[in-house]
Amino acid sequence: MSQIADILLLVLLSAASMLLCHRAVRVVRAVNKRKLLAESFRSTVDAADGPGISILCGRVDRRRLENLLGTEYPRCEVVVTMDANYDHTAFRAIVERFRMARVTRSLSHEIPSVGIRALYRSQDRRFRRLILIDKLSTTESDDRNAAACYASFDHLLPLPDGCMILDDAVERLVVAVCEYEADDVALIRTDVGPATALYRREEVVAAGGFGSAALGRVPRRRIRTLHEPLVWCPVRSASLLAGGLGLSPDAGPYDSLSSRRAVAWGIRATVAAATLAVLVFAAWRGWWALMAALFTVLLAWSVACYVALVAGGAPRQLRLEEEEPGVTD
Amino acid sequence: MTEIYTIYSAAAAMVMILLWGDLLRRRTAEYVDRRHAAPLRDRCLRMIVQSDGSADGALPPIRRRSERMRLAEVLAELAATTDVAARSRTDSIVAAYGLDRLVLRRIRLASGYRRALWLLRLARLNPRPETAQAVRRYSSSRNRNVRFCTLLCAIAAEPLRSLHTVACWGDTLSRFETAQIVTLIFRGRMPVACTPLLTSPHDNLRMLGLGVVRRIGADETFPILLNIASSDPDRRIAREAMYTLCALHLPLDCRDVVRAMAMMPAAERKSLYRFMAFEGYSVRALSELFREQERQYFESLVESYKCRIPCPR
Amino acid sequence: MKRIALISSDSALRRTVALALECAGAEITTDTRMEELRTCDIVVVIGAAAFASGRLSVESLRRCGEHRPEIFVISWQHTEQTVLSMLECGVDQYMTFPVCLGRLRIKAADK
Repeated sequence: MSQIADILLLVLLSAASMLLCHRAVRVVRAVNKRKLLAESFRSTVDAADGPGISILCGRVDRRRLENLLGTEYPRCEVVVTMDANYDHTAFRAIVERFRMARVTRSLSHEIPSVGIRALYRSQDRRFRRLILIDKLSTTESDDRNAAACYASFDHLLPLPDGCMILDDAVERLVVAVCEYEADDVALIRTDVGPATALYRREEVVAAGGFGSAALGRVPRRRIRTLHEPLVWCPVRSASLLAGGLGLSPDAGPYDSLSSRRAVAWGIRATVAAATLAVLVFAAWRGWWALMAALFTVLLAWSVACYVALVAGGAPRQLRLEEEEPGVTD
Repeated sequence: MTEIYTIYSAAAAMVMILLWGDLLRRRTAEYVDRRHAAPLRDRCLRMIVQSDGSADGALPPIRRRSERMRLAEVLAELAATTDVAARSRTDSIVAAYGLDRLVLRRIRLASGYRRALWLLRLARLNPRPETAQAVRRYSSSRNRNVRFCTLLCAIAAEPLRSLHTVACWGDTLSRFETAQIVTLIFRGRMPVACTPLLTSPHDNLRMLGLGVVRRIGADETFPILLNIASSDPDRRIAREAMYTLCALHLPLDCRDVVRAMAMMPAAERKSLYRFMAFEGYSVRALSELFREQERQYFESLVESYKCRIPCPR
Repeated sequence: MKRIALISSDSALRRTVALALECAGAEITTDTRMEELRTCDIVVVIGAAAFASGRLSVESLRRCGEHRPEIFVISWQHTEQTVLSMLECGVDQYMTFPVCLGRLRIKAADK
């Protein structure tokens, strides 16, 4: 009986190890693909017939909005949903900075959404890619549905709260959309970094909007996964721990603060030391099954750290220091 | 079972060592790149950018293979971003340092996307026909990017046969790939005329033709575009022709367009309406196309681009 | 000697353009502090995204009433909308990649 249990345990551990190695290989391939695309899509960024992507987001500050509008790909827009009553200062700041003007708004019945008060577009041609919606703040899904109603393009990228987009993320998504066009793909997601997915607009409409159960039941054959990060969240204390544990590309090698990197590496070293200590103890006591299981845990942690450190990244920021006190890059 | 557990643990430990070793290798390579490769890159840049442009200008000796590889990378990058790599100068640098042989060797040793990257760089170095022939075997690779970059090498090596090469390519060009080839056309690397491309029996060439028409705004191809939109056997190309008509702001209130749109599914029609509104078409200009509910939808889209101007008191 | 500032998040492109402009006898700076940019004769921005995102504006680069520094933008985008938006917001020269470095040198020398 114990032999059967041992065999079962070994089979499980081996399967887990192979899956982990497969993930590492996929991430390395994705990194190599990213280098290839970085050399080729700059020259095609102007393709007039490229797929369009609408980035949907909620409350933004100036820095985040500049990051979202900072993509060179022309067929990309940013749809921001904010509550002007609740975030009055931030809302007015965006309206003034980007010369937003209120435009005529007709109710669209494509995706149900409540509480939309007004729609704003910029009077300045260079900010034509920005759309601002004044909407009563309800739920995140409802805010995204409102944004989707007024999005111009066929692919929707709802962003997690507070996240910034990596430099070439939009271009990589465009290439992925072109690659999978013939396959009737409903959504393209990523499994590295903050969970992000690019949806086809008609899928969202057919499902009844974001947050609907139908959207969560897309068949696997219509989902494609990119093994590379698309967005980046500024390091917060919780994500610092996640970065240290290798669960997130945050606090990776591109983090600007060396103290955060040191903390993350300290957490990694502590986890490794603790696991190794238990492992040595298990080996000394002859607990071979536990030793094998701990090796698998260490392998999982190593793969997670490897993925976070190899694939992770932060947006390249254009460093411009302004004269106003307290306003720095 | 103890031995099996020990073997498993040893294998897991080896994989971990490999992972951390690879991580260390990458960090070391980044460090070396920052410390040593940047000055070398600068030196290569100076040699190419600040030369007098003469094909006979003296070239300094570069013996180390790693430095010559760096030179090949820099030259390929310059070919993509500037006009500095004029044909004669690029050819002389490639010949002087044997960069094509070096890159071919790197292509042979690499695999997957790294091989595709080096093929792309080779395509930018103005390869000779013999060099393109040497990489022709990668045109049957499992990796689509490798196949496509091999196609780019073939186009770069023999521009006069490029259209034939594209027509014979086994895969269907994606929009991104079409855009890359259109870019080559507009850098003067391929001879092209719109009408033969649009009327070609090959799907890839018709897609290429549509990309060229969009890029240069060739209004005179209007009748051909209408014909493709309404009667092309490939629905994807018919759809692209519709989008091309809209991108060129050509009149759309005609029977061919009505027929083409009637064949589209509802979701595709709505997508096209969004594109039309984005391109600035008015409701009246498209009055023939709509079904009743679609008219309201299009009107709401067009209205959303209009500012609300309050009446003065 | 002309003083030219280069603004770009891509160090490779920045270095390429810097080397090309050094041939024209210009002094190149990559210092992106606003007070430094305002003292330059020409500011070359690589990529249209800096203006399109609102990160940079012509008003912030120039002192009131002055037409210095001249602003050049070199970008990958060829679309009419992008070119017009750059010119409308006050950019003096808009060039596209692949950029002719000789032409860039001549334009920088002429200004």
